[in-house]
Amino acid sequence: MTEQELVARAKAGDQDAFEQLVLANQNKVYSLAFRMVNDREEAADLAQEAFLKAWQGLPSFQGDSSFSTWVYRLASNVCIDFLRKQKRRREVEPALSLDDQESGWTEPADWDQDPQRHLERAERGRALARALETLPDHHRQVLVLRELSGLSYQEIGQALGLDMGTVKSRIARSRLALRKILWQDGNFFDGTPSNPSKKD
Amino acid sequence: MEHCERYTPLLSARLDGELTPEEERELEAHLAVCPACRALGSRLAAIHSAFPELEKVAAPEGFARGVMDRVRASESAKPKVIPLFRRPQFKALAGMAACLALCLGVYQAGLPGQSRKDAAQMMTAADLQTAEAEQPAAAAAPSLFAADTDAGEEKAKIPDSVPQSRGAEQSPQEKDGETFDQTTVLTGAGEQPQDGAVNGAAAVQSQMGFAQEIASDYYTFENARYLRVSYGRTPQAPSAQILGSADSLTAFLVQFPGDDLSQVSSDYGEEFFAGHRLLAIVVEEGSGSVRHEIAPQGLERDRVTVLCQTPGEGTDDMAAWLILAEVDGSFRDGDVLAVMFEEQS
Repeated sequence: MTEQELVARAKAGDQDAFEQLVLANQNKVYSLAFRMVNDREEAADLAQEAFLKAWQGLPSFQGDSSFSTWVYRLASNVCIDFLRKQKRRREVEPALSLDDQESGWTEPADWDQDPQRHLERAERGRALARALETLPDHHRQVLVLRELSGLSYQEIGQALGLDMGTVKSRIARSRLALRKILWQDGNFFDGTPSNPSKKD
Repeated sequence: MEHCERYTPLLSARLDGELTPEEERELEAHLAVCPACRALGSRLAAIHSAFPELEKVAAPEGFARGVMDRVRASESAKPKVIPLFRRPQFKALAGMAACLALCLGVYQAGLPGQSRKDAAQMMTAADLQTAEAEQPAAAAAPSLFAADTDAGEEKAKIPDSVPQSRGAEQSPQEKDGETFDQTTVLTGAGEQPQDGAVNGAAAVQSQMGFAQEIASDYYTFENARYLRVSYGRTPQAPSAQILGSADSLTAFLVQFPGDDLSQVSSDYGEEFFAGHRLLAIVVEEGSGSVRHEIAPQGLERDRVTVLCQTPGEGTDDMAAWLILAEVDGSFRDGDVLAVMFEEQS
């Protein structure tokens, strides 16, 4: 059964169809939540909440994007909300707003691609994951929001209550910190970047 | 190298497409003469390009089962409410009321000697009542939630004095130049009854004691706010939906990337959503001069009426608004309402 058919059934109240959608997307959604909060238990709770919101929001789901993209976006929002609450608990927090837009939303890159380079990519992916986990929260979160959730700097700023300049410098520092950790672990990431800058 | 540090954020921002043209030019000029920054740019680009390969983390065992448990729990927690006016007993009573109104009207008016016009008007009264039983049209003026009962309880309120909404103004059925004011019929208040039939209908409603329930499919709202938002950077418009939690509000507001709606976020927290819901309407117009207002009697379970006032002269800029109003807890998170527009001159 296609995703569209499952969505149609789920919209009609078919919980089994919805469960199939959950199973098909759970790793992706859970991964995002885990990268965001770096806590497996919390991530599971947030990811489940995202799916619950998907179930509750199905009647208004128009199918403009795939279910997969939609639930990923819901998960991003759930995580952002969690981060905001967490921040409020930690400090006196100025009023925040959240932000997102369809045009700024990018479909997460294909996670299972190109078998020929699979091993190499998988190793890079593992190394990056390890490095990401060791980043401080405030560095990891802005990177995940940028790289995995696909939010713009403005959106990240509004999500986390940061001005644009802070977002820009924090993301740069996060990348430098990530670079340092990878270097220390012997993963140089320098050889042949698949998307080199124009000058390189 | 100290000088180069200021280019690091630019190198990073370039990967994200976040440079202004000016910054882009500045960075290009620097990279042309700085091999160290070119090398750093290459390293950052390599990390950036590796993110799609980031290892996935498998969801824990039983994850999907946990989701479905929560789904089932949420389903069982939903209030099973059948709106008052849709309950079979009320439909039956409404029919009886209509018949009684007709009979009483006929009796009081002394039908044999009456004109056809009066008879037609009496029919109108009965028809209206029957119609109202299916889709009631009397309104609840914005009232506070102090009278809220259980969250799932259907509310059917009509204030003692019903404000004259555009809906009521436009609804009256005009026949032969005479206006039949349904507000009068439904509440027995306001204008003086025009004839015995109307009087009789009102009297019957009063005697039956459920006229207000029959006539009320409108819901209260309060603290409506009308926020101008960035045109073209909103969710689909027109649209209206119910937000039932702080999370839903958060998810909704992210759809307005061009606007600072932080005040909304801070105004409606979990405490608010414990007993209330937020109605969120998005509308667009071809002019920023158009004024909007939720019709005082415009909120129904599945639709909301928005009054539009277009000035004779105005700007021709495209414009969008986010309209928010507080509604009671009987609405469900995620409910989608149809948006109806009424033009006002």
